[in-house]
Order: sequence, then C-alpha cells, then structure tokens
Amino acid sequence: MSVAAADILTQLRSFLAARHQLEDDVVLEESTGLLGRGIGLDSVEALQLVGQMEEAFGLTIGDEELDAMHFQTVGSFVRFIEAHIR
Amino acid sequence: MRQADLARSFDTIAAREGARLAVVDGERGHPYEDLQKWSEEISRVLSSYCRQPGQRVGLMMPNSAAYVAAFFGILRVGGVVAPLNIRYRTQELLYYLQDTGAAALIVPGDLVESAREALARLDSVPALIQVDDRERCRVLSEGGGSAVSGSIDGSPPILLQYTSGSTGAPKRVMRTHAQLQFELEGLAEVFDLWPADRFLGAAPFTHVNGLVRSMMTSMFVGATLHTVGEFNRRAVLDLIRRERITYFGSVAQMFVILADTPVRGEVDLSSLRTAFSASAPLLPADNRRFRERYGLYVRQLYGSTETGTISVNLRSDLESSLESVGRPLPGVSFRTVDDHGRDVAPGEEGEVVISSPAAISSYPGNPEATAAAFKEGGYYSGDLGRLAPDGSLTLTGRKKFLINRGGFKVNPLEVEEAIQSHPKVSEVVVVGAPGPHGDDLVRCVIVAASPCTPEEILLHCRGLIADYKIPSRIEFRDALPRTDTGKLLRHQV
Repeated sequence: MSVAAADILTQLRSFLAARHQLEDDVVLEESTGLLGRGIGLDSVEALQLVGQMEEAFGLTIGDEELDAMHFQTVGSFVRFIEAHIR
Repeated sequence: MRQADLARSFDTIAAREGARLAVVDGERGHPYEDLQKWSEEISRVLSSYCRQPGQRVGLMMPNSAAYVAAFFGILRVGGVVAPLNIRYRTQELLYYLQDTGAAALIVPGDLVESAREALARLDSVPALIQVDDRERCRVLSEGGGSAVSGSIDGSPPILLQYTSGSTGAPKRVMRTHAQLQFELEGLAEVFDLWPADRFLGAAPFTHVNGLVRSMMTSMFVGATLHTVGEFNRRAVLDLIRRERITYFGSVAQMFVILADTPVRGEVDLSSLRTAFSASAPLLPADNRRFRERYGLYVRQLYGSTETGTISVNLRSDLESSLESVGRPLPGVSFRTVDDHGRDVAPGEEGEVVISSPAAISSYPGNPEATAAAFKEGGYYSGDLGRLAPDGSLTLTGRKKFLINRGGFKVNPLEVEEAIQSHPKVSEVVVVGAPGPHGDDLVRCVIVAASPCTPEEILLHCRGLIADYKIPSRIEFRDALPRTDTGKLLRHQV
C-alpha cells in the first residue's frame, strides 16, 4: 500500500469513527462497501467525506467528478482520492 | 378574507419591474417583461386543455426560469399546479398523474421519454407539453382530457401537493390563492424583503420550501431569483459571492455539505441578509461549523405542507438559541398539547398544534385523515416540541412514524411494499434511524425467503421508488420481533 493510500485510509477511518459507524476493531478491506451496504453512507455523508479529504490533502475536487462508482468500496474511493493527490 | 389572484399579482409586478431581471438561470437572465410574456404563451396553449377553473396541471421540472414561466402560466388560466418530483420513477409518476386527474403534464425535454412511459399506461391521458429553454411551449401529444376541478372554501385553488400519511395513500394538500397570499405577505414582512433582494433558488421547487419560500416569494416581492438546477458545492458558493445573493433558504443537508466544504482563501458571503434552513432540523454543531467557515449562522424555520410557514427564529443572539424555530409569523399561532389535546406547560414536551390563515382545513377526499389532523381550528402536526416562556418553539421529535429524509417525508409502508415485491423477500419492515444531521435515515430489516444480497434489494428499489426513499441501511435477520398475537413490534426493530 502506498503512503498516500495509508493516509487516505486513516482519514476515512477517522471520518467514520466520528459518526459512530465504525468500531475500533473493524477492518476496512478493499472490498468493504461505503454506500448502501456495510458502512451505508448517504449522499450528504459522501460529500462530507470528500470535504474531509479535500481539507486533509489540500485538494479541490469538482462535484461533477463525484460519481457513485467512486464510493462503491473502500478500494475504489481510495483510488479516486489517490489519483487527485498525484 | 379578501380574494387574491397570484397570477394577476405576478402580471402587475412584471409590468412594474419591466426590464429588471426576474430570473437568472445559469448564464441567462430573464427580465420580468420577458418572463411574463413567456408565461402568457404557456397560458394560451394551456387554455385548450384547462377549460374549467381548478383543472390540474402536472409540473415536473427542475429549478429553472422555465419552471417559473410555466407555474404562472398555469395560474393565469385558473389551473392548479401539481408539482411533481423530477426524481419520481414511472410507477410513482403514474400514481400521481392518476390521482391528480391532470389535464396536462409539463416537462423539460430531458424528461419527455420518462413522461411518455408513464402516460402510455394511463387510461385518461393528459396532454404532454414541453417547456424549456429550447422549446418555449410545445405540445407533444394531445390528451384524453380529464375534468377534475373545483374550489376550496370559496377561494380558487392554486397548488396540489401530497404529504405521506401514516396509513394508506399519500394525502392531498390543496392550497388556495388566499392561503398562499397570506403566507407570502408574512414572509415578505418578517424577512423585510424588497425588489433589490437577490434570491438563491437552490431548494427544489417541487417541495413547499423551495417553491413557496424561494420561487414564489421572490416573484411576489419583485426580486431577482438565481435558480440552481443541480446543487454543486463550489458553484453555489461562487454564485452567492459573485451575485451578492441576499436571501438563501434551503434544507439542512445543503448547509451541512457547505459547512464541510473547504474553500481556498476567503469566501465572502457577507451579502447574505437571510439564510434559513427548513424541512429538517439543522443541528447546532453543523450550524457552528457553517459559521466558523462563512461567518454567519443559519436561522431555523418551521413549516409544513399543510400550513405553510409557521415560525422562524429571528433572534439576534442566535448562538444561544440555535435549536429554536422561533416565534410564529404574524397571524399564525401554535400551542403544545398532551395526548388529550390539553395545553402543556411551557418547557414541557407536547404535540405542536398550529392555527394559521395559510393552512388547509382538510385533506380532500380523506375524511378519516382530516378528522385525525384537523380539530377545533388547529392542525395537529405530529411534531413534538417545547414552548419557551417567550413563546418561541424548539422541536424535539416526531409523534407520527413517518421518516423525515432531508425534508422529504417517506412513508415506511410504501418502501415496505416495494421491497416486499422482491421474490426473495419473505418479510420486511422499514423504520427511520437517527441520521448524523438531525434528519432520519431509511433503514430496512428483511427476512429473506432465499439467499439475497443488499445489492439485489437496492437494484429492485431503484426501479420502483424515488432515490430518497431507498434504504441506506439494509439488514437481514432470521425473524422480526412480534407480539404473541403476531403484531409487528416496529419500535423494537
């Protein structure tokens, strides 16, 4: 795992923990779903999550880029953010 | 009560404001005189289909100048606007078109195909009319003509909306010119609105909040309305800054998202004289984050489809009253009562009962729901709240079991019916779960008849119900909690 991916996962975990959706011992796997299954983020939370990533990594991500497919799994989300960090 | 005609009022204001901008839709500005002519063109076309006062016209459009032109075009021919959510799926659209008995359906070009799909399954087919920037008003198909019409309490009806009921089908809410005129006058007074004001029309016009408090109020005072068809975080912030927006009424979710949107450099929102959130509570923590980023608090406004705007927190020391929805608008009153309808003491929790000249007094065609909600001149809202000694109100919860999803009321029974129709589902119950922003999440618990995945349920729902009704929490269990007699213990799920 790249340094950026590890940092993104840390941010993701802190976001989810702050909303009481993630216990400390839960393992976030590449295939863990973020939307309707598993974590169950809604569209508002998804935008808040993007905001947190923008804040943490100094990014500006256009809303037009925010396709639901990027939020399907932890893996797809990490790759999406990683691509903006590069 | 004096008779009001909001179409005539719009024409008068349009004549007065002339070349001043009424609506700015993207890059394009529409002066009052042009918008008025556009709405007259629509009226001329509609007059072939709305031959009697009170005939219903479905209006299924995103926030746009075309929406405004169509809205007043319908009113001018004595029609009743039935706003339809652009997120409705075919089955839902079919239901509302049947129930409204619409004489015509107005849509923009990109919704024509989905509208045709629904119309093909109707016995009594409304005329299909395209209105947008490309086609100012084009009849796509003639209707079979329904003649549903009529007035309410002697005042001409103007709006037909729906609100979810705890049982049965959605309830009709029909509001009149007089009721809406009263509400618009109240909003103009408490917010001290002028033609120089610049409104942001970001909340959907299909919902009472965006429709009445943004679109109609803006046109009522002769202000300029900047429509937002699709919410985009930084585009909205840029619009407020660039156009020096003064009035921004929206839903809690939008303010929460903006509160969490990092901005490069300073974003100057100092032009905002009025920012309010309605339809669902805006939590103090979210409000404080919004203020930290943009330098102002958002006021909480309380209203309902049945009553229109009830109250707004106008206090200058908002920090100490962020949860309050304030005191009633002029001419409106509320009280809090116990289960027997007796007033409870200030500070105690009770059901909020509202009396307002802007409120309806019945659900047309639904005497049972009418008897349950409208008693002794008051509307029993199902909202729980506490009154402060100064007469201001803080909402504390819901007595009824509807799910408040970002201001859209979701009937769990409707969602259960959709999920139950999946062949792998044996039993299902849908309940609200506390969301992180003060509204509810839609949660479902399923007993599967055969192995089934959440994805299968989601895919199934997408074809049947609007996206905001689709559960964001899906759980599977071996059984649902029931009493010895088999009654579902919904509250234990």
